[in-house]
Amino acid sequence: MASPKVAVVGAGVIGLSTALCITETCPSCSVTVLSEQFSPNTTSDVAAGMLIPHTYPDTPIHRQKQWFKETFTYLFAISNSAEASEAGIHLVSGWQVFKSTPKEELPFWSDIVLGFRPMSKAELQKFPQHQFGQAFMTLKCDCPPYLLWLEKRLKAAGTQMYTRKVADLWELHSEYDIVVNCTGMGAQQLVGDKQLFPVRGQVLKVHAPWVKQFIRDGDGLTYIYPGIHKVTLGGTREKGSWSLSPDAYTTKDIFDRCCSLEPSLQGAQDIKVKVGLRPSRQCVRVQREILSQGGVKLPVVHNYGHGAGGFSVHRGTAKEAAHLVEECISALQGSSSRAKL
Amino acid sequence: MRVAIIGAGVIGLSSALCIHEQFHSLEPSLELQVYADHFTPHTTSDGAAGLWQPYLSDHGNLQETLWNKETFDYLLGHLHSPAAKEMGLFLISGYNLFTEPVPDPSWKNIVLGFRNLTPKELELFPGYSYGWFNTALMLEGRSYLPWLTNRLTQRGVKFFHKKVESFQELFSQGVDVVLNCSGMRSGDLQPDPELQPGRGQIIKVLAPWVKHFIITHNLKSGIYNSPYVIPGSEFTVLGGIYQHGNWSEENSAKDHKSIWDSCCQLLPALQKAKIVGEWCGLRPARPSVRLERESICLGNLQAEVIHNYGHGGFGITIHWGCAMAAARLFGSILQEKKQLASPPGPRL
Repeated sequence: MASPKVAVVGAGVIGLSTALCITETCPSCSVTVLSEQFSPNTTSDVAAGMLIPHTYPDTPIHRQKQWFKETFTYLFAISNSAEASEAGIHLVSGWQVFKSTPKEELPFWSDIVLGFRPMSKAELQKFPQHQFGQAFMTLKCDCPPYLLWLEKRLKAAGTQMYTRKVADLWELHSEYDIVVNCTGMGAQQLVGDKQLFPVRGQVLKVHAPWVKQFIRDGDGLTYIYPGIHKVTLGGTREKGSWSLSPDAYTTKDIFDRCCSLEPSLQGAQDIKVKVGLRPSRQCVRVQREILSQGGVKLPVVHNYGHGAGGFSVHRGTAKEAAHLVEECISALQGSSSRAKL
Repeated sequence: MRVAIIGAGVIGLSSALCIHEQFHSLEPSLELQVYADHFTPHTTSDGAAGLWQPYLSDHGNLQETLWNKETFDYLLGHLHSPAAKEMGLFLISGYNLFTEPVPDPSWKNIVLGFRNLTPKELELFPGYSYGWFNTALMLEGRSYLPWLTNRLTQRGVKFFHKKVESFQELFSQGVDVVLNCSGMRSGDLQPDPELQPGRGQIIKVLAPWVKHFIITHNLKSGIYNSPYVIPGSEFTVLGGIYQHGNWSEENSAKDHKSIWDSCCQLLPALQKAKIVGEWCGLRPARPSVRLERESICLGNLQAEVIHNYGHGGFGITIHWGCAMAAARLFGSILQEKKQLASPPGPRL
């Protein structure tokens, strides 16, 4: 197979980073990205893009740690380069605070982020309702910049990108040799995955340029993440809700919760409300599959179900998916050479 | 009781506010006036980035360390107040970088979360092998000075745009106490060979992705002669110039290049930053801050001057501690005047 034709479905952070990894591991591949939405209208564009992992209950911890480490290392190098501002990648330090001391004081990722340590009593005085805290520095991927930067890298590698709603993976079998499914929440309908469920998140994006540090409540519900131009205030975790419409009561609630952590946010301007559905699953599905229909085979690589942790593990899962694509190519080449005999 | 404050930088305005807050109810006749030839946004304080950070070593000057601490604690107390944004006050974390291990600074327990940098963090800064990370405060002069001015105006303090030529000039108008907060040009009012300019130059850029301050140190070339990057609320300040004895208030192309090249080497991402301004100013440098009373005899009158100048590159860092010390000196002057006015009665 001279030039395998790979279709990547989905253009959020998972689709674009997976497509980019494929161009890196398989330079002879012809990669095309197909998606109903592109930045700034993907779920990734709503997310703050903070590298603070979400723990998947059914994925082995060592695998999650490996994904996070690869992602952190990759983005760390970009943040330290001249491309940092274009790619939207920057370091940010801050605090994760808990109302009561958590069972697990050292999360699995504490040695990957920078300078992780418990907060001092003096630091905790800023948070009178919280008993315990952790201070560290991590990375943030601002969207749209990061997605646009990925698109630019893809174009430079010869990748074509088309706006197209794929209703059925079989639509693609005549044009493409391998399909990579990075459809996030769309996988529920596209491949009928009932283990995938939305966790609705509403956020506010505000202008508050004096906020230079992140603050996150350990319960994961209230957070303040300063981006390049706007600060993301969050949030909600509404399991099973499909609504993409902002809720006014929720907006006020998020604002109040964030102001209690950071009173100066009362002076925030230009408040915009966004909603995204985290494509959640007990474990991220990074898996090869061969679909079969009427004697025709279609190799598929799945890479979806990252829930609240997409940005944190995106590069790690993209690389794994790219390796699975390589395996698909080997398998196809193996069977095609057999066919020649 | 007429009090004239000479100088409307951070020192003059904060001293005036501190004195008014403490004594206006005790001394109903208290009348404060601020005289200055430059007001915000044209003072030295306006050009400073506004980062709270003392020099590396206090040279045994524990008094100054205490004033720094008083200032930090005072500002920290205001952090959650509704006034914080208007004051230009916010928390900020960042790095101090060195080419060799150094002793911990006098202020390590004043700031929050002081720690050494980990090897992985030092990877970000080739050429630097040691460093600190801590959380400190920003107090932006171009917000703080207007805020102080508003507080003073509300309290009935009057402002006069005028260059005072001598202390006598004010005393002959009936001023009782003069607060000399004239910073760099104190020498015009009373010669002081110890007061020398520490010329600085900065480039203002738009680099909103930079969320931490980075101060590098070259122990051989001295404080602020090594690149620094300080992100503010509207722009980021790039600096690294300290020229002792240089009175020039013109931006230098050579200094611009030195700042730009060294800061871009420190943070490659800055190459894409847009330059939005340039500024130079004279840090009023002195071996130690001059904060003391001086009695001047004018005929049969004793006039009092409280000197509060010579804060070098740490004016914002030390201002409130000094304002309170100046207020204490004012308090003793007030006390003495009261005792003179009503001497103790005859003993029975």
